[in-house]
Amino acid sequence: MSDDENHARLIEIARTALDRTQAKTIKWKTTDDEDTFFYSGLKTSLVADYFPRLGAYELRVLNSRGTAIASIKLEPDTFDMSSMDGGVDYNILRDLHAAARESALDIDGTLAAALDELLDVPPF
Amino acid sequence: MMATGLAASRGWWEVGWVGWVGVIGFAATLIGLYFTWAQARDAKDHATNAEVAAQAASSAIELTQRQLRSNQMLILVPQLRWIAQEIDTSIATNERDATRRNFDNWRWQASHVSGVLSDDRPVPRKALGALQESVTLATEATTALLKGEGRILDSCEQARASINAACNLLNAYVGQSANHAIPSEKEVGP
Repeated sequence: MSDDENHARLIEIARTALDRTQAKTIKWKTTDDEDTFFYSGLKTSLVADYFPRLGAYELRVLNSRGTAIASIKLEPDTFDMSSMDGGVDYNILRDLHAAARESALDIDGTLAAALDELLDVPPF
Repeated sequence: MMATGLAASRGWWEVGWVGWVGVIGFAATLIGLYFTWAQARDAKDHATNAEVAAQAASSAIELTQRQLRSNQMLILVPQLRWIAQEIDTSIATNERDATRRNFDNWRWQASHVSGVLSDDRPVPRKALGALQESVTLATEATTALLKGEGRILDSCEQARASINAACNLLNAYVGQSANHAIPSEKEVGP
């Protein structure tokens, strides 16, 4: 398989994982690294990683032995620093990482709980 | 037709040889029909017996496979448990290289167990999911151990927890599958 085909396939996996995460049909989990999240199936896993120093996002596909059989790591497009848009594929990886983080940390639920606690505080 | 017509109008002793040929032909047809029916019945019985035998053979193969899997798991799961203990020990003594090696051993052995389990029916999704999760976290912990220099436990706390969770699930699975590997009365037959 050529590099281009591999790239296209990984982007397709990232897009599908993003859709499934946003639809809440898959749940991501945290790792000991606070910028890394993973989703594990029965024989494969996806790992969404972020490298703050480079501003890069990475998606790795692991097999049942934990070996990264394919990965894609994209940095923001350096030729277009004026825009927040780092490129279509970069944006997919960025959105996937954000969605994975939201799923793993249950940000929605935690924010709702925080708001509830604030509203429940009795007056002085 | 002719024989019947003749028989109706005259006594049987008056029927000519042409009439008798018709009567004998009719009787021979009935006998032939009987033999055809008997052969069809025998063929059907044989087919039913063959079907029953095939089903019994299939059940026996399935049972043997289940027993083999169960025996394999009885050996593999304690090995996993032993590796998990080694991981705990190397973390407790803060041995980076040993912890990395033990995580690698876990990944190797866990993927083997995963392969054995995936042949089981129904597929043990919970156990397979727990193993895959532990393998993923073990990989991430190994990478973190290569990069970091801090306390080992900080790099692999979740991997350790996930490995212990997988061990507990597999222990329960081994108990269950050992029971299922014993043939029931239905499988053994009367």
